[in-house]
Amino acid sequence: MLLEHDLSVSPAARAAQIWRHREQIEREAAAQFHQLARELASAGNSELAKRATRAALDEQRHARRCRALVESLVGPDVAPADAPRRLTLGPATLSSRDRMLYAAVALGCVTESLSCALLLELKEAAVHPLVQATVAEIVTDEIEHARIGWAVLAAEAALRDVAWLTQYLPVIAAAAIADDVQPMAGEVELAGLGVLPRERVQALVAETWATVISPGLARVGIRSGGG
Amino acid sequence: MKLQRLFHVLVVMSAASGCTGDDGAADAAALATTDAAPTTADAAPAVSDAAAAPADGAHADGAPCLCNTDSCCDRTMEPAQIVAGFECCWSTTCP
Repeated sequence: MLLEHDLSVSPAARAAQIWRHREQIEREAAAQFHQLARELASAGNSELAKRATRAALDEQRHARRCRALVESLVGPDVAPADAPRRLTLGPATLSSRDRMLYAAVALGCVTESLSCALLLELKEAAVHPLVQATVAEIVTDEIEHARIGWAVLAAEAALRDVAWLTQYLPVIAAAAIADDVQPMAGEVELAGLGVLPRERVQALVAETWATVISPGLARVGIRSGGG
Repeated sequence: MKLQRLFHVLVVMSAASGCTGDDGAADAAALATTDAAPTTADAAPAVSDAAAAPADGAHADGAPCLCNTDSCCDRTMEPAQIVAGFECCWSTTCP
């Protein structure tokens, strides 16, 4: 049984393990935004490339904030987060420009949009002062990060048909939920420490998909179903 | 209501021309305080009550909707209303 789900462990220790996982997620997001910035620059979109580069730096700062929070909860002896996995978004069969769009949608429109909704809810539930400050800082940046994805999608949709992304949405959604959402959920008693209850996370993901992501994708002809 | 506003901030504004992404802090603050804060009415006393309707929730449908100092304008539906003390409004009406 993982430590964060072992109810014999203190709430602070369980919350710390979940924030430690978020530290890893933030480092992976930094690498993905760096890659997206390179792809945007190659595609000639220098303005969005700059925003993606700033997002990568934000994510690195978030990882440091998560680390500080872990140490605040349980002390400095917790092992560092696992090394970021090397994640290349999109099938290798896609062209470089299509992979750039795939990455922007997966990272910005789906993962970061879900993160915005969850963090906004979490901000209201948090009671631990450092959790409150950390969540407030991260959510402000995540809104911009999500908007990078939506801006890339809008820009590409103005130039060409992007409906081909429909076939990849189930995979994109499943990966976002499995890698970035579910690991951040926990028991009800952890809400004040920055961990939303699983049932609430599940409901909020469904609401966000139906209210934000699916309608947003539908505007450019991408059908996303029920999420 | 908050998710509808999130849709507007993320999707609609990102698709609008001229968005630079510099106003994430204001957007996050507005989103995070939607349920409780009086928002723009307090921030801009020079603006008439009708024009300074809260960004979300407390106004009639279709009422003018001004946002405080956001630099990103949503001009997809109507021309932006430039008001002293505001850089722009991001939507002239609220859903």
